[in-house]
Amino acid sequence: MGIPLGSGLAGGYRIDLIAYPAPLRVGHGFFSVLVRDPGTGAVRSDLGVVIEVRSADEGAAPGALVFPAEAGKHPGFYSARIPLANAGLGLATIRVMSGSGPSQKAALEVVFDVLPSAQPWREHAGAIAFPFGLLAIFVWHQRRSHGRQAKQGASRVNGHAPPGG
Amino acid sequence: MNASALWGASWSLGPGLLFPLVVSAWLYLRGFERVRGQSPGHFPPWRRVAFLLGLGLLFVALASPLDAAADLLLTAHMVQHWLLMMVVPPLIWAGAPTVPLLRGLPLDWLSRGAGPLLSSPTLKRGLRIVTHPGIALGLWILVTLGWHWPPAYELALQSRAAHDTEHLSFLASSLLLWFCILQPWPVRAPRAFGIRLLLVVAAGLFNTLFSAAFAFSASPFYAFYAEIPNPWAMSVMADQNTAGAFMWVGGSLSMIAAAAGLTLAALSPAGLRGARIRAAGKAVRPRAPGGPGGLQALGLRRALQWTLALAAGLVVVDGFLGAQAPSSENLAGVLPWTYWRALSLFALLALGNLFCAVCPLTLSRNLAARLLGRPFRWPDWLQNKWLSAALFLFYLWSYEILDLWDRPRATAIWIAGFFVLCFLVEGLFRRGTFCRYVCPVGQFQFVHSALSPSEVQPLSPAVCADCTSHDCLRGNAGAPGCPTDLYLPAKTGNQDCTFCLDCVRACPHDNAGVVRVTPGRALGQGRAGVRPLGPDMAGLTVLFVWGAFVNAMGMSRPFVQAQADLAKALGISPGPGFDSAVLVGTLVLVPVLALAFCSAAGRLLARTSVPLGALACRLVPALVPLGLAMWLAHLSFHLITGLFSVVPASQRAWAALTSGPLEFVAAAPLGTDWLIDAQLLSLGVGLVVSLAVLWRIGQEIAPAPGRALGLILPWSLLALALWSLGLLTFLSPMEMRGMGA
Repeated sequence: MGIPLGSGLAGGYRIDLIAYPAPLRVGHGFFSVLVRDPGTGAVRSDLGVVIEVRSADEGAAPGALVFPAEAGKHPGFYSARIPLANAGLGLATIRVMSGSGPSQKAALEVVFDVLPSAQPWREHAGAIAFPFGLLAIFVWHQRRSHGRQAKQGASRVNGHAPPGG
Repeated sequence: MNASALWGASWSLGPGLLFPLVVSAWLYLRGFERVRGQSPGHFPPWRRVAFLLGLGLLFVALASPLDAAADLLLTAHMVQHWLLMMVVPPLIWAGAPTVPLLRGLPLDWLSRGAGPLLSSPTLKRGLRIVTHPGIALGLWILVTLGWHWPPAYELALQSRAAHDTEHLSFLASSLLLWFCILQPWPVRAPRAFGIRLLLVVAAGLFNTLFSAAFAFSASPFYAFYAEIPNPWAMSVMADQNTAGAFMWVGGSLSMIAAAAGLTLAALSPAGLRGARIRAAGKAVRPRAPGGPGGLQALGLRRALQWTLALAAGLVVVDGFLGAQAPSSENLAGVLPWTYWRALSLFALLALGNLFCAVCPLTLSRNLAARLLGRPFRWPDWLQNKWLSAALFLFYLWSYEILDLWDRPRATAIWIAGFFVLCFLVEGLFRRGTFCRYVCPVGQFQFVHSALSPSEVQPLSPAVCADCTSHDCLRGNAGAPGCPTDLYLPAKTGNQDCTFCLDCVRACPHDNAGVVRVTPGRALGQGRAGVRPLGPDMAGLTVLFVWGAFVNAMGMSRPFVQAQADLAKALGISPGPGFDSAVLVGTLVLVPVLALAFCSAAGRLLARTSVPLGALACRLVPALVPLGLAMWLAHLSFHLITGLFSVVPASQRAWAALTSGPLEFVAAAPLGTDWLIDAQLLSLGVGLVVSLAVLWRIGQEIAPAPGRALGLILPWSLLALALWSLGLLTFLSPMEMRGMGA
């Protein structure tokens, strides 16, 4: 599902924000919101949810991008795929809308960190190359064993005792 | 001051610590050489390494910059405590230090000083008391709780003397506890395996509860850390939660390693000595009166089966009655999918087929037989693995298409259905029919336990050669025989072995047991060394290997996107029908075509006349290590990222059961930066082992090296292609099911 980024009580709802991947990187992140009744824990699937995302870094350009979070195939969650253009601190504001429009009371703010875009092949080059190193050792071991067996076989054919008995 | 100067200044190399460490090491090494000459069996070289490693880690814990960091960071402090309580003591006792330390003393010190002191009845009585398991455990718990009580903890931070006392008491109480667990030589009458295992479980349980209090705390315990500057820019609460998470994982790992070590030692009671005696054709041990004890005892197996049955019952009840969304807060959405799948794989690699050994499904076997009478014979056309393969395909289809993992009620139906199916099959047909011909989970365990480090085997072939009663197969009054009709002297590998140990209990000569073997040595061999495998076994193996990759690729964005693009290109609207067709195609059609091509190409290159089908059946098992590595990497990812997910699920279930207030606790995530490397390493090891097995089997079919290479070349490329798919899966962004735009 993702990693919990934050949760809290806002406007009479219990709101949980989960995001994937972990850690969040420049590119896209999947944000999922769970809205529940705090007393009973009942999941609310009858509301409207939007996620506002802005940069929380000092000196960053003002303004937020707003993404409607849809009740998707994953039961109980409102999800949105959010572009993360810049590395740094981000601020997500989850607003829960009642019938009369966005409710300022039901707003949860969560700070999250966006890391620079990964270069996975370079970052994990060691782990990727590891089996080839292991294979090289196996091939060397096999050649050595075969060479030794061939020498012992030749010694028997020539009527001599194999070296080392 | 620069970083390296700071690093150098942070070492505390005082004589108070160095002197006892150096003297202990010198005495031990001196005494080790003396006793090793007289008793080499009790002092293999690894004991020396273990003891010195323990002293080394003690030095690291108390003298390295870790000690300095511990004054600033609670997490570092907990790392220090973990070393002192969970790592150093077992290593020291693994060195069996008692005799070497005494023998390292000058002779007259020993005869006039240490000897009379150790012979003192008062001292002996005192040692007997403190090394009682209950007292050692109680003392350990008391010391841990006492020193973590905030006033005591803060006193230790402010006073050097109190700090040293704290560390000394941790070390001393942990040495007592681990002495009771490990019972190092020369303990004359070690405590029963069950008591020691119970001690490990109790200590692990305490560690879990204690750590959880830190990991899920909402307010700081120690005001000290809020008042000092934190050079790592970590908040007090983040530090405290991380400390709890570390203690939990680190402590659990130590206890799991201890339990695994105790279990391995108990399962092969003769150990290395038995292997040498077996080779000489002698029986390992005389027949034990009253039946085998330890882990082979039926009572322990039944206890574990009933525990798992209870857990399954809780899962089914919560799955039916508990909250259905989110599934991560239902026991049926968490326990089977996050924990059980991965843990049964770990157990399989570490020990053996523990899942089948303690399977709760077969508890009702005898009751089913009494009620239903076993009137039928399992049809000949079903006496193969095709039914299991079909059921496993159905499981994969349910997982992918019906989102089984995200539907607690559906999971509960599956589990309950398994119990009902087992009851009916075991009641209507011969004993063991469900395990041998039906259960897909059991087949998964059988195939992959070819890579387990242990097998059930006769201890001495000579004893079996003289046996005419064959009780291991037929059973006797003491125990039923093998439920899957395995005849122990002819048995090869772990195929169809449920590790029930009925054969061990039934053997009248006490000539059967669990022995350590080289993992993978029986790959490619059937139940009784039959080669090649039948097409049903080969088909099942292919399904497991391919299923490992398809199951993981279903969560990877490039593959999900490719599937969507394919639907678009074909003008088909994506839905369950199209997704099912793609799934069945990738699990059945693609591997059949791939293996046919590899067999044909290999046969051509090797210039051999072995039939294509037989060739495929011989070589398919070589892909098992790669498939297992993929399952392991995938399932352990979910286990580690969701390690604490049982907490909110249990709390919700408890609140529902007691109608109490629901307290929301989010499962604290573990950092996953290192996880991708671990997954890639696992996959890499699987690839290399598969290639090595391909080479071994290739040489058996075509002994000339050039031809063997030609034979396995297409298969090696196939393994490489699968490995690449796995690589792409782990390095690509994950497409969380149900959340794609």
